[in-house]
Amino acid sequence: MQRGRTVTVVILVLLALSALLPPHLNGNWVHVLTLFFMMSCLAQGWNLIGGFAGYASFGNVTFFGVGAYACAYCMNELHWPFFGATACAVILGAALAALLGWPILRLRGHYFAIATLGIAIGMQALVAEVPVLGKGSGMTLPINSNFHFFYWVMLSILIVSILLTAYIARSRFGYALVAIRENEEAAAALGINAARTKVAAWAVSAAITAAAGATYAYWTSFIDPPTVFDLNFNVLMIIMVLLGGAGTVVGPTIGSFILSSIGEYLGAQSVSPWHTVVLGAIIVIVVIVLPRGIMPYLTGGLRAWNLNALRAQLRASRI
Amino acid sequence: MNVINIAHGAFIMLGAYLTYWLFVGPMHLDPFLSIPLAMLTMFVFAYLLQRFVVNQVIRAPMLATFLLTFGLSIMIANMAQIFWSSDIRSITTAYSGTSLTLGGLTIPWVRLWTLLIACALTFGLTMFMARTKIGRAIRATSMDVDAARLSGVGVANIYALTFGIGGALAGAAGSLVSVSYAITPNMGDSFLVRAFVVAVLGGLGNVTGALVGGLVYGIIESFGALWFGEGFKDVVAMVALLLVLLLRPYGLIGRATA
Amino acid sequence: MSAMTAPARSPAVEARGVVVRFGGLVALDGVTLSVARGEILGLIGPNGAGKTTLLSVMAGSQRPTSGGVSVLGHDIARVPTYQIVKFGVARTFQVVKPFANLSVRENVAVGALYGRHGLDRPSRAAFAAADEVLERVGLASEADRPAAELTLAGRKRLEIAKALATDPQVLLLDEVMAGLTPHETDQAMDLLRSVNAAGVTLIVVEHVMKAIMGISQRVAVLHQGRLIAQGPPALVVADALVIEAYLGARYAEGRPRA
Repeated sequence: MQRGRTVTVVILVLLALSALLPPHLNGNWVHVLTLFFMMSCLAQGWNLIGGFAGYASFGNVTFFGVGAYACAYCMNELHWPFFGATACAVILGAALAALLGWPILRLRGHYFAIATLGIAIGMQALVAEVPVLGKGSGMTLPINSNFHFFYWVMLSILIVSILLTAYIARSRFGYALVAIRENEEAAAALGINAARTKVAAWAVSAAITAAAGATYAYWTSFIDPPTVFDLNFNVLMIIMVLLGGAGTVVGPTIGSFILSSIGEYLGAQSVSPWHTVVLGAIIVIVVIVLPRGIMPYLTGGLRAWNLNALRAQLRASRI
Repeated sequence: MNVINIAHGAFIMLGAYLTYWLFVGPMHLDPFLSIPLAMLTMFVFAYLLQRFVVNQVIRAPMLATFLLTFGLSIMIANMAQIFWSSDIRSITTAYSGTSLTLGGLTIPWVRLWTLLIACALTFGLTMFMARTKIGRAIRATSMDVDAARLSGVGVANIYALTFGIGGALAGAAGSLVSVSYAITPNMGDSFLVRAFVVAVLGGLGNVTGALVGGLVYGIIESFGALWFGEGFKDVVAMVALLLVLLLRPYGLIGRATA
Repeated sequence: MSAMTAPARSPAVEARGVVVRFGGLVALDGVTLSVARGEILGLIGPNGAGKTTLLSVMAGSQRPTSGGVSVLGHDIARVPTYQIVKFGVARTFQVVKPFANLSVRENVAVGALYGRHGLDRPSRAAFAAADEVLERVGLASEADRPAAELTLAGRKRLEIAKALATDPQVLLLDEVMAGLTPHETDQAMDLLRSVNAAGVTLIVVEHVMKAIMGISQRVAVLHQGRLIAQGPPALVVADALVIEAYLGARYAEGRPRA
């Protein structure tokens, strides 16, 4: 636990320092880092329901899209300022998660995953039919070319989400989530109201995701259903959390960093098929070789780089 | 078997492309006739893939298999794009436009044959699962891996076999849809989602259920489009899915296991 | 409450005509049983008699098809499990359910954080309480190890510790002695006696006769979902019906055949 805390502090310090970067970076790097912060937010959000509670949501991107559209509507139709619109997005996202969570979180494993997948697809189709939201053509938002502004907003949301996760991890609520993940029946037998706990976790997860979505909308000034409800976002979130370490405080951010770096190295500017093939291969390898992500290696130090332990772990997961 | 194969869509795509190349190649093989070939090729491909790759995470939590097969699916789809380009292809046979007129209904022959073959394959699979030794081994393994192993079942082989059968059926599906739908590297995506919905509707693990689920889903989608408009049909389908999951998670015709 | 008569204290657990049916299978067929406060009741019976089902009904995780159950005066008909813990009932599971990725201390702490008084006190107090329980149970030396690393005996003890951490007034124990060596069984029996001495009512489901005879003040026998005998251990064990249930009619006659 101690080493984990060190990693968290290091990450937070690095993030805080990166607030000083924008004046020294060219526009491209500001863009890349803002995107990295955003994906990290999504991953941190997913981690709460998927990593801590153990409910793998394939529909978290729904809250991203809802947040984006809420922001777009509030700014465009109601002419609210950005922060008001974002607050609205956050509340809407959390409320939606609470509403859907009550029935959906009763489902276990596969069924929950498929249900959340259905929600994402259904929500995309639904939004594409709403006239006031621009239907399939999307919505535009007021243009704001101060890209440093969005850099700092995304960074702030990320730092807040990490601090929130850190707080939860050591709180009573956090223990309840982990107990639910490890053995839900035993958790209930010890007095944990599993239903309420799970819904609360999803609501917080949705709130973070929606905040990122709202910021994204204002940042890019244009959103449409296929972009903000894109299931690939969801898969990326999951890979990042898995890569960094599910159920850890900063694992998602680390995983996001690694994946974004690889993407950059491969020239993610133009998404060529070869790039995606390599991404797929990375996913396959990570899932096989790093079932707990990279975090055990960061906290366990050199001891963890043990080939025998790796072999034992591989043997345990195959037939 | 509790193995969720995201690459299923990609398998369908491969089956479709195989049928396409056989059709436009020197043999000019009729799409329906290439079904056995597609099934065999995809069986071998899927079997090997499972045996050596997917098997690595069989005992890991479901999420691992989910993501692994996702990774494989984007690899396969993108390699298809690299080798065959994303040009849209299609198969038009001599009989593509013909239909059967029955009473007041006009049913395209292609769709009718697709339905009949789907029924035949479902029937065949049900018989296989119920009557053959391997079928029983598969069912035993899906109930309790360790007990099956102790009973002498080669479980690694069974997992690979089951995956292979799934692949074969995807190959057949690919052949069947190649005549009715556009053939592109990413065609698998829309079929994949529908496959999940159908499987859940029919009850996971229930073979005939899948057929029933497919028919029911097709009806829901068509009527959804009719009543609510083309755009809402996905919404309707998803709402139906959610209702089934919440009210009858074991499927429309399944039975709750105690 | 009348000032004239001593207030009648409700029994620790009371089952009235409890029937549990799973489809066509009748697991419990009208069981009426009363357990006094501070008592140790042993619950025995051949396999499949319904012992675990009865325990689950008392713990609130199994709803009776008909009949009622009350614990400590509270009717638990439609009360969810986690709420019943707040009344003061805790249980262990036959197949132990540790939180594998948490340390032993954290496992027990969950019970202290959410048990009967969990939400009334700060987390730090809960962890202190957990340490106390670990001392009582004899797991203090393992406190920081991951629960997954414990031996079976250790896991059984952890199971009891988790339940104790919720500060129960009634403890339902499901075959906690299974798989223990005679020495470990003795240790477990001592532990249970000390728990009872502190005022906790125990309902112990067991197959290990030595344990049941050693610690029970009263024994109840279930057979095919029905209560066929209850009373002091020595009398119950000699009861003809009980012998017939376990060993067959032949032995009940006192004339064992070769």
